[in-house]
Amino acid sequence: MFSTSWTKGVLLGCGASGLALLLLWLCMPLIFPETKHDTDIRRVHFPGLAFTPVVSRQSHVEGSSRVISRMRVAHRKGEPMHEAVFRLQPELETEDYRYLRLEMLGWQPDQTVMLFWRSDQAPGRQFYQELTHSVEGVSWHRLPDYSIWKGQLQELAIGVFSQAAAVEPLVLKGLTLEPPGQMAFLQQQFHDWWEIRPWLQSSANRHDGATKNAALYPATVALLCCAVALAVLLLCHRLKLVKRRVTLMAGLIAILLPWFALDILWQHQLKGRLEKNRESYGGLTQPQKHQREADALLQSYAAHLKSLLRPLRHQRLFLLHDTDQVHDYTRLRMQFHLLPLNIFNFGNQLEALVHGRPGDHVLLLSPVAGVRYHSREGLLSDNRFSLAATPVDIQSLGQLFRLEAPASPIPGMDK
Amino acid sequence: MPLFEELSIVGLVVATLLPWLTGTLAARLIVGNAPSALLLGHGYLLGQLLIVLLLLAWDQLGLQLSWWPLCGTLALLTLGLGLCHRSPPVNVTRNPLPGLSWRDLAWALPLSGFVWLRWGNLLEQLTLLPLFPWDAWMNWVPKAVVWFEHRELTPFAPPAAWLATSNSAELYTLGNDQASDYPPAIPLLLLWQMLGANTSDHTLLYLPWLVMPAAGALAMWGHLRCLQLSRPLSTLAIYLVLSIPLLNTHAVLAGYADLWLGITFALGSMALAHWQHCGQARFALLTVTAALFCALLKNPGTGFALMLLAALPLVALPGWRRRVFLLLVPALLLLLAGLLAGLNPAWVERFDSLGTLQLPAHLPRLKLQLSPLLLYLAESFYLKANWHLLGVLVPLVLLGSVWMRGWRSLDCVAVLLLLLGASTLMAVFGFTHYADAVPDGITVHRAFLYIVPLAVFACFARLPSMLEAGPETDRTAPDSDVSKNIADKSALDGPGSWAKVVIDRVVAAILLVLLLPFLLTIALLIRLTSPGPVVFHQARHGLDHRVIQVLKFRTMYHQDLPDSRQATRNDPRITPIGRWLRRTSLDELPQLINVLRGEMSLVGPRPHPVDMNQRWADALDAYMQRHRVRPGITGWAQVHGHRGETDTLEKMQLRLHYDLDYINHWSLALDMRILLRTLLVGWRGPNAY
Repeated sequence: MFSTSWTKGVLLGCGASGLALLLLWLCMPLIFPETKHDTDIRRVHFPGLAFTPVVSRQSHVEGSSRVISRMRVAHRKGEPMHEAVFRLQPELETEDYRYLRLEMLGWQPDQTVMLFWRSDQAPGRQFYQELTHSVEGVSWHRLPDYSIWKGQLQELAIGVFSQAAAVEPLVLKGLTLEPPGQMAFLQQQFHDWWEIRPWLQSSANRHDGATKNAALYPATVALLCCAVALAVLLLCHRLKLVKRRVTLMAGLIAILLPWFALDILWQHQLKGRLEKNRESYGGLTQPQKHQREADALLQSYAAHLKSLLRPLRHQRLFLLHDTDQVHDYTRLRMQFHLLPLNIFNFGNQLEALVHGRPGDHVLLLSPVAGVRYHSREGLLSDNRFSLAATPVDIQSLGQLFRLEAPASPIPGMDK
Repeated sequence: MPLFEELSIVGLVVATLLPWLTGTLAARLIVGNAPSALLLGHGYLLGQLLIVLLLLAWDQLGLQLSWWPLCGTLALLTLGLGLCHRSPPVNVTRNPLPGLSWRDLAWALPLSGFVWLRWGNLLEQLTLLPLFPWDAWMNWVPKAVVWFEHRELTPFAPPAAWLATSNSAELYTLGNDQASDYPPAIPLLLLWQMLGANTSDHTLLYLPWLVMPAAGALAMWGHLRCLQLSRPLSTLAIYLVLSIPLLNTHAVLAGYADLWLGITFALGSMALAHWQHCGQARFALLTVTAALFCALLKNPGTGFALMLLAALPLVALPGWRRRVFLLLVPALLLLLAGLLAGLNPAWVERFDSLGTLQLPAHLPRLKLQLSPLLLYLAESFYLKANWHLLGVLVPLVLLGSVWMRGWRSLDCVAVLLLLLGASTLMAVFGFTHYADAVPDGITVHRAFLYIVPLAVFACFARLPSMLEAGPETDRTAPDSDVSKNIADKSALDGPGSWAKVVIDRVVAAILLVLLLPFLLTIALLIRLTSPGPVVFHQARHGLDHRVIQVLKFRTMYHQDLPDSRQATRNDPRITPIGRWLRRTSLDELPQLINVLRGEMSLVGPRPHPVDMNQRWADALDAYMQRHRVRPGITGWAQVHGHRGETDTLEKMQLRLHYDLDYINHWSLALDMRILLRTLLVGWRGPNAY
């Protein structure tokens, strides 16, 4: 298989892919007008020491960097909030710049970083935009639309906020404002593709490869590169410059090279997600892992309920939750945690309990609109049905009752 | 280690490996001595199917689901299957393949390394993540948990039925109103892991989600190698399928059934393709088991099972190539209709009024409606990174195949099943209420997982005929198709044959003169090392069945009575010098004299002994067609490794296939090519002894 045609095919495929990249690079200003570069405008770099700490408890300058060793603790809505804000006052035309390059060390995943600015177009009004997290310390961001990013810049600030105290000092090494340009555009896009996104419940449904509002998806770039390379190869073949077998081989290479590139991005995602998972769950037993989950509270509550309902085998439970959604996360998740109880889990009304029997239980997972317990009569009722029930366990997360009799329509209200 | 706390690690290891072993032994019993990768891949699937059937049978017998009795039963089955292996295995591997070269390694090692790196990452994440996705804990796992706790297969029913049987505490229902009717395989597989590990809550229970794609990749490797795909390209295929993001995601966010259905459908299709290309009908049984497993995995699996079963008679009946287009054309039309119909708003409106379609049994009722599927699929395949560039690779390879080999190149059963699967998905998402789930991408991407592994296989199964030297048609074909390869008129029937005769005689004369010293040396060596004549002559069939005396250097000890049995490996009749002569094919050089006499040609089907011809003529219809041309010293079959002993029907089928292919496509250029290949590789090969 490593005949001359193979070698020619590989070389031709690589060449066509290279040519495709070059053509795409040259065509980029046509496809993305914002990458047209005005040579008069140059990038502006502000070293960290140019920033003045506006909010912080302890800061100093190290070389050209600004270091915040302790953040200020404020209280917002009763919750502690660690804050640090660095500010500078440049005099620049906002519209000249499209991208922002931020170099900051010590940026923790749980920290929210914001860009604040004021301009002469709306004096006194403070604009802001959240900057996505970067693990490398250098991050690229697309500046906001010209609807708010306009006028002469009067003030620019970077704010860092988190509920937990910072583990290590924040080092602001510098901030660069980049004018429109192909390189800056690609770097910002690449930063978006390189950004680690955690596993979500929806991850099983799709993998986008970029954030939702990305101007360019990596698969699209790969496809364009591949398509142009294939077109070049087809042209070569039509002009009888290349034999069919070599063309086919080169075509295969022209697909595989961008495939590898996409796969490197995907591998990077997987590596980043693995690191995050190691941080969250590494070295833990299964119960300890559950305690770190988002619904840990629900799990504890389910375990508590199961301890009240032993033996579980013949226990039937009607689960009511204040939602009409079939795929409601909380009620379905609760059902899962309550297994192996025999659970009926549909709706938010007592009608289904017509089929209940004494000894069954009802769980109101949250206050369900219209369902009330009348302690004096020992009745649980909604607008249409009522049933005799005894409270078993009342908590903020839910209320558990034992049925004394099946539900029956309230006279005159059963339609 | 915290990871291994709160579960029985021994039980889990047994639960993972024992069914695999059972399945592998069962696969070997079914298909014979196939490549290990192929057996291991199909074996894993068979093992999982056996678990499902065992658990169902166990419950039907009213026995309690206890681990060690179940495990013991499976172990006994394994033992029985192991004992069945004593019978001599049947060799399934087709052409001998060249050994591993450094060039192979240069391609294969980085790709394999990347696959290992990827799977290592996924394995660690699988063990770390306590969270598995929505459908898993909503639809599949609850059944397994209840069955594990109760140690019996407690029935589940839709909510209405649950309410109707209010007296029963033993009837369960699920939070998703349709999930109770889902087939049992996935919860049963989970139950098996739970019973082994003695817990219903542990990340390691989901290991099969990682093993299944790996097993699918192993089987794919085995099948592609049997189809003569080179090692680097086979490795590339494995890398491509195991690098697909959504497939990786379903391996690590374990618990869904989609990945299982995709791999199972691919395995069933691969087995069928193996039968088609290698003529091994035994592989049909693997297809049937895969079809059964498809139906047990998911409701849509019933449709995919029917596709597999429908393709079986196509391969089984002779001349299926003509009939396959009867299915291919509607599949392609349906595929195009599904993609395009929803783009016209007027049609969308008209189609909505057509009402609903009730599928049989517990399958859902379908409301008929159109969706602009093309736009959404373009987004899924060309904008988002779900599949890398599979959306480019598959159409390009299939179109390239047609470009190079014509429409006949699509008559591969794997391609047919791929198109059937794709057109079914197009119909479901393009013409029914499932279109509602297309815009948000919740279901549609996952559904395409059903055909993605097969798509990679179908592409790479076409590559050998496209990229590498070989006959225009399939390299190997079932007996039923051999007769179809006979051309009514060969170029050798015309004036070309005169040119060939002249060239043969001139070249033979020149070679005899040039090689004379060498031939004399060989003759001397033969004479000195064993008693008997230097040259051996044997009656064989020549042109138009005429019997000719074919000359060879004597390579065996001289016997008074002629023995026409074919030489076998380590045949005691062969002399030491004869062994070397046979291995290098130098014993054939005296046939230059036959060529000079006009009895033979330099290139042509190898002449076989007369009694052997009679035997094969009875078994293979087209066998005697070989004698339409002069036999040759070397041939098209020989340069493809089909030389030496032909102890099985399959081997002779392959040799015959190449011989007829040579007759049909003869040209002087082809003769030159064969001579060149004979000089380069013809004297090598494991069959030369």
